[in-house]
Amino acid sequence: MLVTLCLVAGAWFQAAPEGASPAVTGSGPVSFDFELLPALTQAGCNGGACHGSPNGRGGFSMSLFAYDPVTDYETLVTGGLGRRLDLIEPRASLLLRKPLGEVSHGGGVRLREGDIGLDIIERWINEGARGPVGDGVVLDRLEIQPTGPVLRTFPEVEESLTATAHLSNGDTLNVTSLVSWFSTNDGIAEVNAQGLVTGKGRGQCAIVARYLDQLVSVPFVFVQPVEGYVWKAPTERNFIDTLVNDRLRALQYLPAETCDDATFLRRVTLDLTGLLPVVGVADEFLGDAGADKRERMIEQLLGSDEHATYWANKDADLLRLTKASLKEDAEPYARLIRESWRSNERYDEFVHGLLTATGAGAAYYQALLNANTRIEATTQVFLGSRLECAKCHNHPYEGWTQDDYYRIATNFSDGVKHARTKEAIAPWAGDGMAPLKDRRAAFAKWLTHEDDRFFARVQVNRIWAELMGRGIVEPVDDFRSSNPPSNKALLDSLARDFRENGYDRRHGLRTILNSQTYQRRSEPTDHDEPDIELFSRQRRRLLDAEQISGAVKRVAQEGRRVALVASVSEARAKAEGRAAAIAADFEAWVQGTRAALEAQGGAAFGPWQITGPFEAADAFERDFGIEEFTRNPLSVQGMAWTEHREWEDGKVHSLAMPDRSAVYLTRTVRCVGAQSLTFALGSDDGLRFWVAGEEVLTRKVNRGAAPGQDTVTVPMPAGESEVLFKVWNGAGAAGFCFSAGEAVDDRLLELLEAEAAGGLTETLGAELRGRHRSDDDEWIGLDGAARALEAQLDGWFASQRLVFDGGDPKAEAKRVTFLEAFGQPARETSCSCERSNEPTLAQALQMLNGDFVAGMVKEAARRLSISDDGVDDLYLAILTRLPTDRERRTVRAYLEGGRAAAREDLVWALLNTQEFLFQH
Amino acid sequence: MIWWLLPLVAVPDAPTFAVDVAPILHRHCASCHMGDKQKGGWSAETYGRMVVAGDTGEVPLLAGDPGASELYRLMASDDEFERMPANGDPVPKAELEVLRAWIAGGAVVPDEFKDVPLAELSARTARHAPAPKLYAHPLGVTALAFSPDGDRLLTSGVREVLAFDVRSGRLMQRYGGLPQRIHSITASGGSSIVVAGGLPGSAGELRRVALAGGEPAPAVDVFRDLALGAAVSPDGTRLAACAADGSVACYDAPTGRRLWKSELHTDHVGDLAFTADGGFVITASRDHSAKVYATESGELWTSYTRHTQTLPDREMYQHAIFAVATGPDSERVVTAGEGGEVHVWEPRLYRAEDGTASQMETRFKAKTHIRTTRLPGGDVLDLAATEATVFAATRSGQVIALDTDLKPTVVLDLPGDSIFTLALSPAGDRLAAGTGSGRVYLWDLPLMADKVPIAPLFTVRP
Repeated sequence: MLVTLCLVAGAWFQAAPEGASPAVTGSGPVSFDFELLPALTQAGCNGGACHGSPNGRGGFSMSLFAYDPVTDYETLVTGGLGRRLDLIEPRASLLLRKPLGEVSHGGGVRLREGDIGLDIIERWINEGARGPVGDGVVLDRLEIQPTGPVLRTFPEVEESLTATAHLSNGDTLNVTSLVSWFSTNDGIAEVNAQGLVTGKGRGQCAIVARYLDQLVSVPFVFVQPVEGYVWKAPTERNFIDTLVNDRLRALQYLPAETCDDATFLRRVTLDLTGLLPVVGVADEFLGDAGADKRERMIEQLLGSDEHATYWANKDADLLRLTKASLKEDAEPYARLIRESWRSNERYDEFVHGLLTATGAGAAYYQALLNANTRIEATTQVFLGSRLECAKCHNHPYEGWTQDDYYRIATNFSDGVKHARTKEAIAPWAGDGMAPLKDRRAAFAKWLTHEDDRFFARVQVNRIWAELMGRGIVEPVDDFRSSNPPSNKALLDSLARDFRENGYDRRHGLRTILNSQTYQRRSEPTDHDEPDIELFSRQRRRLLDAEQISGAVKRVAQEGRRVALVASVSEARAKAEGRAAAIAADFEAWVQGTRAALEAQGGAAFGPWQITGPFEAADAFERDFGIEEFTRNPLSVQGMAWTEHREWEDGKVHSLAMPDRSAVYLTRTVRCVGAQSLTFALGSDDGLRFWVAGEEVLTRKVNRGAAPGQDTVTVPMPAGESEVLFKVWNGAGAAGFCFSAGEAVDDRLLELLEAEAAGGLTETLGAELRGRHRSDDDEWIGLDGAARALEAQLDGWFASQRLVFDGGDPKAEAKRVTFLEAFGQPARETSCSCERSNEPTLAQALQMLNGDFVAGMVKEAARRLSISDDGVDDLYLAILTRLPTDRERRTVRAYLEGGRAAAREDLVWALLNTQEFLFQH
Repeated sequence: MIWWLLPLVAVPDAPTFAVDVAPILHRHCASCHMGDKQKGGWSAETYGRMVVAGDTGEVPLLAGDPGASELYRLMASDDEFERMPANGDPVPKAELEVLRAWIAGGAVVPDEFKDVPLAELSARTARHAPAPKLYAHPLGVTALAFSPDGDRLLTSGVREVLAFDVRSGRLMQRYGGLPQRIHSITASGGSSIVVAGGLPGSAGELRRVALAGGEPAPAVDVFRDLALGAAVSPDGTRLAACAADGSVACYDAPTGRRLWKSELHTDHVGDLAFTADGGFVITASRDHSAKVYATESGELWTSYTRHTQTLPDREMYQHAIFAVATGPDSERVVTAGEGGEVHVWEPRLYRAEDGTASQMETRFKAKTHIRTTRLPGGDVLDLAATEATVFAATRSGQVIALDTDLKPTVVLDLPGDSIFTLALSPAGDRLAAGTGSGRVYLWDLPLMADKVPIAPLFTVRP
């Protein structure tokens, strides 16, 4: 039957352009699963706004896009005691009269005479409304031919697509007329119900076909030949340029030339640090004749704390860092996010840490209150996928099912129940019985490494969007096959490069920043109308909230420290300077410290090892094979030793021992020099004690253990030896207690011994040098100051402030209003769309006469001396360029007469130019 | 034109107002002269309004003289500037002739139709196309009843009611002239039945059908959507009906005069029943409530809203109520529906317990007389009750007998089918069940699980 169906459908498709519309399936009964339900989907019946919404419409509710055929069948056939169907006279069925418009229908007319859907529904009813076959055959795969990318040049812009359903039993069905076709951009191409695509304009888009739970998209490119088009491109600098230019050339656009130095400096400084370049740096950069000066500038900025802070702030938006939700955990979380950028942590490790952390990073979960928010935020931020839909039904636009949703949710919270089945469900990428922490680890591992479809691509796409003003996939957190990338090869290559370079975000930035594509002019190329998504030029972008407030502040207060980051760096540099200075004394300090420790005396002990119990009537006296080797008990063959680091000295520890048995305990002891050491022991019941191989104490008693029941003083050799402690239990409970000599900083001792033995590793060396620094009062002071500033910075950062305001609450309030006007998000969602970049009236008012700008204008006017050079400085400070001759003349004329307000007017006017407010 | 309604073709010899004239006037005048619209100061809402002159002062109707009747004159006029309907096609000659003949014959209108809106009157007198001779598929049984003598089983058909012999299962008689779908059949007196049905989404009607056969009388009432249920009071004096448009109405049974109509339900009202003393009408609605109306006044006595279920995640679900049954002697009411919920309660006790909104707290703590159970078979679509037993029909194909404590005593399984409807014989000694696949089963009472035939008596498929 299916084969016939396929053939007939194929024949029909061929005939379709001539306007004939015979049935899709010539003979055999209509299949409920593969024909009837898709026909309802095609007519829009089970869409999210209609009967597919959770409560349906008008008392008629179906599963969204037919994901639950069994329930749908019951609803259609027995719902309302069969009022929807009339098997005897199909045309009297409500299921047809409603969509045909014969009865008033909230959804309007959905079917017309001649529609394939009408034919299928009518025949299905006529055949007695047969239900799902129940043979377990399901749709494996939907295939669309051609798979694309399809390139068409005007005026030849038609293409017929065919859809084939591959079923799990190996059958295939031609479902071209049953799938729901749509175009991702109707301005570029349209598609009709028969899969005939017609180009409408120049550009690229995808034609998407939905059939049951499958969605397939075919990329299309339409080229409009441009008269006199000659390809001309600046020198390519890396793979990015090659891949971008490939696209431009295919669509007959021209890439823009490289921008000038001043534009580049302003652009890259704003992009990386959110600040304007200072006049001094600008002067120097513009005067630099080096061919690699742009690369050097990129490196310099990438290494700056301002960069780490500004980019960490972008992460903090998505991770919802707010004091309101995290309270006292906000600062440690702020530090963690910022530190990740400062130390250029691997991105996969950073994310893995967030998802599995129990310490400060657990704030990630704290900021997301329930299981639903956790799964929706996690998938949107790291997988660029919006899973909210799948909470209630299979995702209509992507391969996410409702089961997936609840499996992932189980990774984050206990007691999650599936909304439809009301049952607990096995977690994603882990086994059902694993404790929550392991489940999270399994999920984190899958997320960061095992799914190449998303993780790396989403992150490089976010970085790209920050630098280019638009994602290759846009919106950046809406990856799905019906929203394809504008340049797939580019996104793939960037993601591969990111992975191959150890998920190094700084590397990702550097690669893009050094491309000619990033450094293109923002003016349209003179040849044609500008492209929107192919990156032929830089985009002009309104500065974001942090950039604009930082820029205004820097103009006003360049002479002073403007950013708290800067003062933190400075304080840290001072402390590091002192550390470097005292490092010269390291050798001497080591000698002195060792001498002091030797003079003081004392011993350091390793962790306890225990073996036993050994049972025997004469357990106290009997040697269980160890007492022969009291110098080196751990080497005895066939003994299983267990380590107990947690047994503290001076406390009684219980031992699980049967009556008439013994255990052996041993540990290493290290003495600074040869000395006498006093051991204070307790035991339940008897004990025997060896030091450095010699038995020094024997007590066969019946007692409960207490500290210091027996003491013995022993002359000790310098360096390492060991003690052996035999505890005997006559009957009942058992235990022991141990202490010896003065408490010694045994870690320091260990480090010194390693140093003496020439065995200092890098980390041990750093630790020992840290001990050295901690002995220096000046360093302690400087370090403390840096830490205090840094803690202050954590607080500022956690409350969405990147620029230091000197702690004046009034000034702060003004700036908060200003930031909000420019779209700083409240961090209430995990969507990148929460940060608005839309121009608003409030912004204009803020710039024209807001309190914050007014204050800054006054400060700037006072600061900038308006001499000849001052005019240059003014332009450099605000616009990062020198004035033209004409501008210089105009400014001078305006200032003539020395009117006090004239300078303020001038600053105000420049701050309100498009040139200042936009990135170029 | 909806093709399964019989179009009017011939001019009857003696046209009557209700059957012949009202539909013509309704068809041509409604858009400008009915409801809120009274163009020219004239309304054709009812006969009573129609005979009152409009702004021109001309007499609309003069019995015996069509030419002097302004209504007819304007419709028959050759002058397209004054001809009615204005801006519309002229009234067809055949229809004008009906109008003319009726006026010439004295423009007779029976009193009971004088104040009935023409829209309703046309609907009540609409004729249905004949039933199909043969059915291509068995027809799901949405209505089932025993004839008053218990000899026949009456089932729903397409625009007809079918009568089968209870012994042989043979089709004995077909009662045509009925609406597309039939959702309720109720014996009324010894010689007739009351049928509720209609066309889904469009119209519903309540009709009395004489068991002796013959032309069906005009509908007792019409509704905006399927009429789903009808019931006759135990003493036979009152008739009540409910519909998918949310309305509930009560009539004087012998005359069909409507006593009251209520539209308090917000969704389909699928079933209704009188209490044993006839004092209350109890409804079952998809809007999650069962309402108790005083039979004589139509006053809402109380609303039963306990068909709820709290799931483990603490979300509360309200369940639709599909069926209601009353015991033959006591005041007991049984309601059932979505989620397999079956509730037994009494209107007076429930109202006393329900109290007011301010007593909510105490209400939920108080001991209640209500008994409930949740059947595992899912949605209950219909109920039947004797004094000792409640029978429930489920969507998943079970007929379940419950004792007075609502404990299932017998479960009959008809897998792969849905039980749409149940009927008890007049003597109370037999139970019949009709299913979604068109099968009708008949069992002797008391029901015994191992002794009942599991083969259907017959299948509804002429």
